[in-house]
Amino acid sequence: MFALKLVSLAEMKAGQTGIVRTINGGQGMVARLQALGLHPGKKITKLNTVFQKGPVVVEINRSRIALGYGRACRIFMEIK
Amino acid sequence: MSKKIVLVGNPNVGKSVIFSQLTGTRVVISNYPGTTVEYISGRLKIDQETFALIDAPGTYSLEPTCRAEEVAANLVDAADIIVNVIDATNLERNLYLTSQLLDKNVPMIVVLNMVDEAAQKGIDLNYSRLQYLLGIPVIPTVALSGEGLKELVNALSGSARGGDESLPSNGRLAWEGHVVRVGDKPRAARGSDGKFSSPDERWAWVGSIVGEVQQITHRHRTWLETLELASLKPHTGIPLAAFILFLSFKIIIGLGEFLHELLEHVIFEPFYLPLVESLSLWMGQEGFWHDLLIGTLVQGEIHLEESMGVLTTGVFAIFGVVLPFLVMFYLVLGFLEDCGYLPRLAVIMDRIMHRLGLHGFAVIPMILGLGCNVPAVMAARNLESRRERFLACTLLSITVPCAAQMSMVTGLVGRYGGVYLGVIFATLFFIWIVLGLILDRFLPGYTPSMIMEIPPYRWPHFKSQRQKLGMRLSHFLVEALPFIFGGIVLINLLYILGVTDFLANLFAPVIQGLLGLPREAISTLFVGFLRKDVAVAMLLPLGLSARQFVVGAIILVTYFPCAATFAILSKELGVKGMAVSAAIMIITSLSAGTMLNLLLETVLSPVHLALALVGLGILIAIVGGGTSDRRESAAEAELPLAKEGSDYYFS
Repeated sequence: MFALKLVSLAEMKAGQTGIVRTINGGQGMVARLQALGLHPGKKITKLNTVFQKGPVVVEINRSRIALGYGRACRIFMEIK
Repeated sequence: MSKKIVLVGNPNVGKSVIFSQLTGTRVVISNYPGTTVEYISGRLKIDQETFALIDAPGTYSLEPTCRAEEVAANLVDAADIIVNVIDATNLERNLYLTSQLLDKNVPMIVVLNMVDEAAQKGIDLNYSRLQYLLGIPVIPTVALSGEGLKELVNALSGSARGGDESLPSNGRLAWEGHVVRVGDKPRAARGSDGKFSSPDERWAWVGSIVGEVQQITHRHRTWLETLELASLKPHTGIPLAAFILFLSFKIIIGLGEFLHELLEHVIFEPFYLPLVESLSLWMGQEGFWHDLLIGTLVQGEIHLEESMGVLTTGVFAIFGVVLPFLVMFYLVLGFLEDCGYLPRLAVIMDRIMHRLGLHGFAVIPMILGLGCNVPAVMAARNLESRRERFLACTLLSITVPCAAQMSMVTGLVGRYGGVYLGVIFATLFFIWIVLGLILDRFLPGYTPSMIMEIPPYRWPHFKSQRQKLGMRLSHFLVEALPFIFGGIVLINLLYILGVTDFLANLFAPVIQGLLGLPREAISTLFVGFLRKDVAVAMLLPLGLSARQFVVGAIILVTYFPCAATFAILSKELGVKGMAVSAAIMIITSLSAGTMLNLLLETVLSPVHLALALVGLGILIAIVGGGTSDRRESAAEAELPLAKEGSDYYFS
């Protein structure tokens, strides 16, 4: 059995799609992301390349959300 | 008291458009999340009964994460009828809030807005099925063009009468003529007791509905969507941002200047001046009222810019100098707001803002501040923490000059040479960086990074553009006129009563010694509290050198906010916050003025100084900034599950 390998959203490549597995953040952050549709089990696509710890832009459902680098580092994804 | 109908929904779904269409009240509408931060109430008459229609700030959920969302959550609790506005292009995310609203058990109607855009994007929605599953009326609309709003009013009249009415079945956007009772239990499966026990359950519920009512046909990417991606990626987005900002600046300064000259040479000099001259002769060229209305004669003649009378400098400053630039500024701003570029600029600027303990979204208040600082301070309510709001508001009220003030500076700096405008902007940029950095270091805690939705690009709608410009200009005239005239009356009175002389002598060491300005310049500081544009105009009769003008302009921008901004700042920051902020302002202003006085044209030429300030600013930001970032990573390293209790707290 392979252990499930998780990558943070910040490390994902542009254009890659993955499933959110863990959000390593406080209640406030989790609730906020939850309301935007970013929650464990959700399939999302990363749209941009991160430049110099800039924000990550992801596509969730049909909307685009920009996440600061600090937060993107705390969202862990499973990539198929 | 009339019943309250509250418009609730995610940010940027068109609540304000619907509000403005239904009540006829003009409100600012833009294409970025967080335009509305305060609730606005209007009257809506349905079947002889008057309702209060309330436009709430957008929110993603009923658990608030910033002050604007807190307002929305409170409004929902006070609502008699909820109108939940949903973006048809993004059903899934919008329905999450709907699920929370349904739990409130208040009569509710869903408005499915932007159905035209959804159709364009290949999203096919089964309205009647959605209505059936939700168990409440669903009205498809295109709010900007007014489509479907009549049906909305009809449905409202139904719910107002107790909800026994059938929905309208006529009209272009009508559907199968379902009879729906408001308050019926939603038919889609929910938790066992009809309530949701966790957010996951809500999302499952949302997913089941979306699966049933939405079908998506794949469309090819349009060029607008390609541009959307390009403006977010760093290697294309940064040059694009630079180009857009440069172009905006060029349009505002270039066309503003052109309009200003045109007005001066076509209206003011040939027509207005002779009129004032004959009035002056008739009044005998002297006396109390003459001084007030016409002002002092410059070498025996009236000078529209320098005479400082209500009818001379007062009128010319508003209509001849400020208005032309203001019109151009708001035209450009309106376009940028409505096409949806601002959130993209926020993404591109995020990195720079992080060096100052802010994040990308704070760019939006800064840009609004270039128009007027009052709405800018209000826009800061979209920021999550009190720390961020304090930082953004303080920085903005010190270093971001409003359009009226900048117009005056631009209009007057010409006589010294355009390069001095560069020095002024470079100095403000330098202060912005250094002050932001210092504040970030000394304020406890850290600023969490951003979470922001990015709307699609949309073509600005002509009618709403025109309305917005009209609103902003009339707001300026209504607000500005009394203050400008009041300011002029005040300086004349202070002068006549000898107060100016007294204070000029008292503060001479600071004004003359540190700043190198003539001691009479003290009176501009009083007027600056009323109107900064008039205060800048007052620098002119003092006969300043280029260096003195630059110092004076910087002092006037930074020393203290104008009365209107001061009022809103005190409200947002509280008395203590305002006092701290004011102390920072005065210290910053004096240091910047002294520095310029010592360096400009004594040590460095204006070009070199401007370049040095910009270069040094960037260098300092790279080397010294990012305290917040470091604290955030440190907090994360210490506690794997970082406590983000500080994420949002009430002030």
